[in-house]
Amino acid sequence: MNEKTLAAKTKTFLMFAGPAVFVFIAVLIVPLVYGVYLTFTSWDGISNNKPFVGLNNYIEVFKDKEFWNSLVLTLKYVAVSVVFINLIAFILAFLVTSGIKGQNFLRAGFFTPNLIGGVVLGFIWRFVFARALVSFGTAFDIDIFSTSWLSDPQKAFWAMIIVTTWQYSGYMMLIYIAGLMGVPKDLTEAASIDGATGFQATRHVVLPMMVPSFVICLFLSITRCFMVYDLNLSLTEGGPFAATRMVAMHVYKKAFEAKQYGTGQAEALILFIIVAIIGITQIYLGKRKEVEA
Amino acid sequence: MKKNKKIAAIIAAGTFAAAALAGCSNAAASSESSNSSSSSSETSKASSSSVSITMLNSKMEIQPQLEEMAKKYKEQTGVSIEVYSTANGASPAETIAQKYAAGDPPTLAMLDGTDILTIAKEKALDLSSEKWASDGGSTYGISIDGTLYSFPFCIEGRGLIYNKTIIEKLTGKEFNPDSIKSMDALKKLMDELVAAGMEHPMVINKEDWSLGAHYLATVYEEQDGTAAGAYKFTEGLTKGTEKLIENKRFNTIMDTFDMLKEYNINKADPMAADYDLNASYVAEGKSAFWFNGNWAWAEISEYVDDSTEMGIMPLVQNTSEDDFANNRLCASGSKQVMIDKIKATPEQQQAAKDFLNWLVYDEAGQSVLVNDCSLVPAFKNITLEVKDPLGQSIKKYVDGANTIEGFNGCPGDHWSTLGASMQKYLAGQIDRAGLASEVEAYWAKQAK
Repeated sequence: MNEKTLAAKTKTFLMFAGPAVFVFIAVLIVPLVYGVYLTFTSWDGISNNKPFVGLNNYIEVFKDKEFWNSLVLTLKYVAVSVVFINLIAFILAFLVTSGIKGQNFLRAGFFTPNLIGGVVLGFIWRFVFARALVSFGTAFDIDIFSTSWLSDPQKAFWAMIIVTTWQYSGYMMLIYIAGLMGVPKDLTEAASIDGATGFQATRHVVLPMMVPSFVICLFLSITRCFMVYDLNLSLTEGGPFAATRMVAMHVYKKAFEAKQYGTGQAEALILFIIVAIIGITQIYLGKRKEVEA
Repeated sequence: MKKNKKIAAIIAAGTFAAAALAGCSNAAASSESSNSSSSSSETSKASSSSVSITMLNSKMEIQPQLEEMAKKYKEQTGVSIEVYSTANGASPAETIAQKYAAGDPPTLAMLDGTDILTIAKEKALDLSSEKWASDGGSTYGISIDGTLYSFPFCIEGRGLIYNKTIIEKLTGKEFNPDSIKSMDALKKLMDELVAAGMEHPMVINKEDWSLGAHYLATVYEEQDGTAAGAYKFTEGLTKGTEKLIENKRFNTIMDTFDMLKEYNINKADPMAADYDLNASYVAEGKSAFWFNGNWAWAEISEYVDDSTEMGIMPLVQNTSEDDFANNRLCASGSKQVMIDKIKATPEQQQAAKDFLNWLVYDEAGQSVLVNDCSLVPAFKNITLEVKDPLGQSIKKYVDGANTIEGFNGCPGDHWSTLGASMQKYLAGQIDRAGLASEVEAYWAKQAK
């Protein structure tokens, strides 16, 4: 019949993919295109006119020193916290699958911080850093705790990293647990029969088998840390003196506080491209390391 | 048969897609039609005065009182007002932007002064001929090119909050804030307090809004005490014709800041100051002065006992005793209400105007402002006694026309950007020249 004609193909396509394509276009493509359009205007976010200014906003972005400073700061923050999150998550996963007592309880316990939202978490830890640790430090005369961590730019940065690690390592632990459990027992057995020590078996058999878990965990922690806003707002408010203002917060302030919507949107777009490039590169490199059992 | 099925499937899919499409367009269309239908029904009902209007409230703490007020107003006049507040954490500017983008702006929008300046010309109704304009509305409301666009909902003032009771207890003399007219006089008093056993008589906030929008902005506002003067000065900064470090007012204000810093209760780690603790220090008499405004009563009242007398005095400086800055208080209409002219029907606009008149001239309306919401009203004709002591202080300055005009011309990110600079100065990270150059750099960036 006519099943091979273009019209028929279109019909079939629309029948199955039509609704999904429509929704995808409506909620993703249209806003994206509109967003890109806004980067060429000097809209203030509310006015009726959106004066077209060409590439001015992008030139503004390159002149916006604070944006690049906050981007560099965010890169540092991402690098350090991704290492800590994944290191701790992997160690935890290793411990709670090694058969120690109460491991199910421990798994639940380590995961709990992730159930607390970023804002609440920030307020809790703000209290810990600004009040609890300070009282502790002054009472026992411990220098490093006797002033609030949040009032020193360096320490406030580390406070962010500690809380981020605390928040995400439990979540990543779950993925690593799944990865560890997914390594076929026959492989580890074969390794031990061949005379591999525990370390050697882990290094040469378990780890290569777990590459997919690493790829996922790295991807999740990188993207989440790049986009951090809630924790930044509730823990340090970008302070002291804007020294811990991450890039998402800077973009928000540009668009909504300085009312430079177009410039803010352009910065958001640049951030999106950077994160996309890093994320895709990481997945591409990770996938190449995957092995079949 | 097979073909029929396929056609049926295509029709089904098509219907779904169409329904989805229609869902969107319908929503838009139906909101349009509901708008028009509601407005037409309002037209018909307007004669029986049952218009309904909406109001955006950006003072979240008085939301329950305003809802109560709406009920009372409905009973009294038949006009229903739906009051909703800004979403938690969202600024009034964001909320109003969203509302206009969605085509559903509130009839009455309570916003900050800067927001009115940005949107009024395009979206707000001219209120110049309202009766309340001459009773204080035009002084504390916001005008652009001679046209009044907003209703000042309340007056807020800032300066040095003092705890009179503790000062008198420690010095053994009566404390009259009017007698402190220079930085040296204030310093002398603080030294007395220190000698009498109070370790740190001063409290300075670390918050960027307090340091940036309130302390630093005093420099602009006190150039000559008018908003026009402040505007001219910031223009000069933008163009680079004003040199801050050579500016007399900047230097006297920062001299006072340096002095206050020495007595700051958070001096050891100024950036670790905690707002609630600050309130308790001054309320409980651990400290005597706090640079803040009358809104701080909300926090102070949690710690203070009834016998403690408090008030607000100007931020004194080492200029002459009759310098206006030492005698007048920075106080201005802090929340401004505008009436929408884009979507609101003439009936709704009239109802909104009537409501504003009710607030100013009806006893019940006055009582809402003063008694229920504990605000300092901007209108001369309201004689109700303000409830909290800080408000009473402000009212005293307002009644005596001893206020320094508020300046709304700072860009939206002024408080956070330069607040951070002030924080650096407070923490000793930069010196005065460094602060001056950061402020100048910020304004220079505003050049278009």
